[in-house]
Amino acid sequence: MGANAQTSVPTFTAGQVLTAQQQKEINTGIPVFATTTTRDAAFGGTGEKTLAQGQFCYLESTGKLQVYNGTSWVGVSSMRKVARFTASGTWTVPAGVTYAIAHIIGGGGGVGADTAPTGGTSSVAFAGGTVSSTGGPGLLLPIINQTSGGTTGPANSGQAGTGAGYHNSSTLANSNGGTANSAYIVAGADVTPAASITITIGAGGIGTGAGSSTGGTGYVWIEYEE
Amino acid sequence: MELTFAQVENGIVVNIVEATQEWIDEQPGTWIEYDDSCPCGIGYTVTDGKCVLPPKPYIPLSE
Repeated sequence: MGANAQTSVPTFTAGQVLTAQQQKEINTGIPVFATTTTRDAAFGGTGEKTLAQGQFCYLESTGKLQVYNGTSWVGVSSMRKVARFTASGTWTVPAGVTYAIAHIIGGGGGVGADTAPTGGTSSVAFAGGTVSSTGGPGLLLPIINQTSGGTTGPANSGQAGTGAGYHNSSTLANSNGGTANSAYIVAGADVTPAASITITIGAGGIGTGAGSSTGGTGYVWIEYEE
Repeated sequence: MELTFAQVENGIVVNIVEATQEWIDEQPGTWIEYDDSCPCGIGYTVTDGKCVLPPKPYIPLSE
């Protein structure tokens, strides 16, 4: 039990001389309790305040602020958190979390004169169904004369690589990977605390040949509130 | 360490992913590690654990 924790919320009568302990129990502003058990026992007894709507408290056991709404104690605020994945893995749903929003980006497409593979698919396997973001489509460079290799897409961006080739045609523009980005999908789903959810991160398509480059890897982040 | 792996179904690459070897070991199905000497991509055919590159694209001489 912390220094501010108390076991009673006192009430007073006119002209009453307050003890040091009673002063301590009211000078924290919001009463602090070790657990919900000590909280519930602190109201309504002899010399204690009657619990009523609008009463706040802080619980050391959970580190959370609560308010009594006349019927029950409810959380005052919740904090949004993020679980991020730059490689495939598993998300274990934290205690108390029943809903989550997944942001999913597939791998960027590859670029190259020989091969230009599609980026890999990123996905989140919610219990209600797997949600996926398809990788970028890849871009085959329609070039004859090529210079150096292209530029790899930024990591965890799902952006396509950028080709560096050129051709000697007067009718075709120089090529790049601008059209090969992956999709960005947002999906919400009910989740069960302690459940394991499989996260797959799509790789960037790996282009080959002159002017080639690799798409950026995919990314997944999951927002939830505790 | 994260590596690139190809997921194979019925002899065809169906996805390429970033993952650790430990994560891949826990997944069902067939996976092969990406090999720079034998590039892989979605839709490529896999024979004897290696990707078969598609033929180079045809470039018209008129271009």
